[in-house]
Amino acid sequence: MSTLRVGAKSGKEPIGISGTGPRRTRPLGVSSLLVLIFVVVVLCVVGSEFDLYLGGLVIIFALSALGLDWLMGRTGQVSIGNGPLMAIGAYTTAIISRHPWAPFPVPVIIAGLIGAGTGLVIALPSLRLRGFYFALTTLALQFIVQFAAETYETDSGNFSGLTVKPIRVFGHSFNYGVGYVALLSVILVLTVVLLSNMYKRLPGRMWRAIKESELAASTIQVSVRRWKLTSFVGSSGLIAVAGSLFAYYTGLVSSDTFTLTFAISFVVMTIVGGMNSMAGAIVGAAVVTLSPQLLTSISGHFPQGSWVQRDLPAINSGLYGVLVLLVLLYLPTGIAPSLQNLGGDGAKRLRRLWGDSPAAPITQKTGIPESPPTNGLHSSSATLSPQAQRHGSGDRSPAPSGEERDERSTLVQGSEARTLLTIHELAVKYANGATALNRVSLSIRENETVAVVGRNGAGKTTLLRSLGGFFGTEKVRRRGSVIFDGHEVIGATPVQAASLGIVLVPEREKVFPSLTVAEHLRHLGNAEVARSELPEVWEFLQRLWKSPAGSLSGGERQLLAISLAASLEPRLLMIDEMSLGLAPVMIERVTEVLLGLRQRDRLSLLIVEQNIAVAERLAQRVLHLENGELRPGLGTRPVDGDL
Amino acid sequence: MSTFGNILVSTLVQGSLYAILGAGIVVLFRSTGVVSFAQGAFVVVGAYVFYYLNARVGVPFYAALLLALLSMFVIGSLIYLLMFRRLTGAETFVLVIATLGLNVVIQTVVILSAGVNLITPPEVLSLATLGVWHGLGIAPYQIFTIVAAGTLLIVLQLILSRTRLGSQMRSVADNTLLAALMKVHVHRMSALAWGIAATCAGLAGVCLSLQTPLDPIGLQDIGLVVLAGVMLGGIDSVTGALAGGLLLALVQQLSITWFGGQWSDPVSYLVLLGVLLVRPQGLYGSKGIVRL
Repeated sequence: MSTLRVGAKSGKEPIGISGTGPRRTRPLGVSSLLVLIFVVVVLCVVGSEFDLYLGGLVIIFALSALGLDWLMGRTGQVSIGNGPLMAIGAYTTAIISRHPWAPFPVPVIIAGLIGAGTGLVIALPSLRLRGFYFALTTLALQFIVQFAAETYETDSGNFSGLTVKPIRVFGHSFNYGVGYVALLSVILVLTVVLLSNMYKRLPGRMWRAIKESELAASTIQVSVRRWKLTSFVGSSGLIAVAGSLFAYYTGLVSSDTFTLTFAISFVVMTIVGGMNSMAGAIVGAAVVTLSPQLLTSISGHFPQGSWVQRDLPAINSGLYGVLVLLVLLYLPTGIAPSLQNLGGDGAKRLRRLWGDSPAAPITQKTGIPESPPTNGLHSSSATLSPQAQRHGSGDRSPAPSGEERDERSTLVQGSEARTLLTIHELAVKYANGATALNRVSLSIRENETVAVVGRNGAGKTTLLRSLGGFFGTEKVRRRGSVIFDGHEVIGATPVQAASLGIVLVPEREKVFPSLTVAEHLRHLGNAEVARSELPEVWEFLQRLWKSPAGSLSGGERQLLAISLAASLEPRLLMIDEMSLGLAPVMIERVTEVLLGLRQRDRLSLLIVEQNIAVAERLAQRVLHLENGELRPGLGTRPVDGDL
Repeated sequence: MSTFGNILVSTLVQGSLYAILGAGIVVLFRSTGVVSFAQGAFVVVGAYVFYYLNARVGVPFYAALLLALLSMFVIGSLIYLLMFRRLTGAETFVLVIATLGLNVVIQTVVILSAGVNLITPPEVLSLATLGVWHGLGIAPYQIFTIVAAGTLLIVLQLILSRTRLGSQMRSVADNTLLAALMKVHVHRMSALAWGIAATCAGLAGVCLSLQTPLDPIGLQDIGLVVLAGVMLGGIDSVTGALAGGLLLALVQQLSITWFGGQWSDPVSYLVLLGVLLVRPQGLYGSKGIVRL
């Protein structure tokens, strides 16, 4: 259900499900609409004829880009089909508008219908396929339409393209100028109002659900097929309408116009402006249409015959690519949303200055009672360990009371038992605003085994992931400090964390489905270590040696994953949901394996578990994580069904 | 020479080009999950670098070939390290669009540095047929292309399926995050895959430059047409890249013979559409690859 709630107003974000989901959808606000109207009015008043011409083009391209934003931004399908769809609209218009029975709006409507029909046809293969397959379908469409257009032009004798008569309404003929721009602006505003109403209501929510996860959407009875088709058909119709207007506007339809580059430029508009944002599509259309003009006028200032002037067309077309890469790499949300965020942040900062909201970024209470630090790095551990430590099953179990226990365990673990990991007030927030961890402090010593228990969504996985590292693309905000073996690892990527010796066995995808068991242990891990450290697991896995890991059962996967992870000789081995979904026999087996591993020198274990009996058997300390806060585990009994 | 012989030889040569290029796409996809629309640009760069070294600087053929391939490897790896590394773990469609952008940028750089005019390189390997046997005639440049494709595919297949490196590259494709957690050098593997993809494209560029004039716009079209062959064979299979490439070339040659030269591209894209509709995983691809 949670997928549907992303973006719902004031809906509290469920944790851990759509962790890196997209930003809140921004409908084109009233203010943006006013800005748009203002720009158009200014353009009409002070613009030259050429400015007005460009303004009209921007509006037509914006309509087309809005269609792509519908498909790409809302439904999550990559398409480079704007070129061919616009071509279909344009040719339909050029051919139909010659007939007396088809005055102005008729060809546009027919173009839209034919475009929608084409959308239906090209959508069919992608109904059951991954995202880039649709991109391939539209690529094929591009070349097929271009070929058909060329053939038609040659066969009909229109070698330089088809001419289109200007729009006539009640005897008034629209030529370039204020009237035309006003007409197009009205169409644009109507489209925006229509789309934003749709996005705000049921269809918008359906598409968002599909974009986030088709599987999840279909399990909650969203008819994925129908809504995906609706989006394909509707957006294709809109793009074909833009093509029809384009034909009227330029008065000439030629196959030279609708090249692959032309098609790609709409992707550029949507990306550059910012996906999932109608303001973005319009800003993108303006940027992409006007920047070559800007460059051309700038190049006038360069000396005659310099390379800038000579290669201007090449530079202009290269500009698209540079824009795309710059935006994807550095402004992943696009220009318009980035500007809006900038505005939003500025407003927040102002409010803070005025003292309206004294809120520090993370304000909720810690949940961990502050107590005087005992000694240096151990401070945060000390706040926890007195209540948190439990009698473990092993002979290393700590003594019953506070300070004494700390010292005792240090003694038992030998003189080398220094702190391996110190987490100080770690807070983790996801890009969608969900707080997954709230000022968690914890320290783990060398050779120590700690178990964290807690119900689903408590932030356990996030705790492990923050130690194992996040990729930059996951857009996770982390605060506080995590010191591992003398290194600050709070901002580390998984690659960096792993190289320091932090290895995480994730909850779900813990093996590589297409690699065989042998390839896991020989090529990814260290086969010698795997054999010598966990001989019984090695023996067990022998009979599966040549099977791809994708065909293993849950328990076999867990054993393979632990064996692989252990063979990497980690300093800290973390296992997420160690026993989840395993048969009791297999839980026993995995527990035995981990108890064996625990004896290994210089290895600390951090295990996330829902089964408290298993946790108590394995770990020297059991902690309880709830609502993103770490609490002592004593006296709490989190059970699976405890909702 | 008979029509049959002609079709056979052209199919083999063109199919080899598709196979070389397609193998790069497969390796890149299998190790990074990126479906590259930028292979065409790398073809252009490879052809120009080879032309520059061989015809302008005067480096002997095989040395120029090696140097060109080496520089393609470096260029490919650098593109990953400087740009695509920032997109590690990003959604597929972001990656697809980024490769589209990359294609435009590289093409522009080539046009700016070498100009848009056609360049006819000197004949390095003879274009003349070696003699006709039962209607079959083949020229040295054609033999070179076929041998190059065969060698490349065998080496790649062995690396991917038999070596530690290959397993690690595949693990990154299976699950980038898990690979990183399991101490696989994700960035190194991805850079390697980008390097291999660029090298394959470069080799295809060199082979093309043996038979056609250099043209920064026309040469890169092959980078998109080849996707039809790759999908036909299966996007995660090197064997598929070979089979798909050969089949695509055969379909093209037949349509050229029957309908005329202008039908080659549209028929290829119809094949692509057909594959997507009927058997999206291709001939040799694994089925799971197409699911959501």
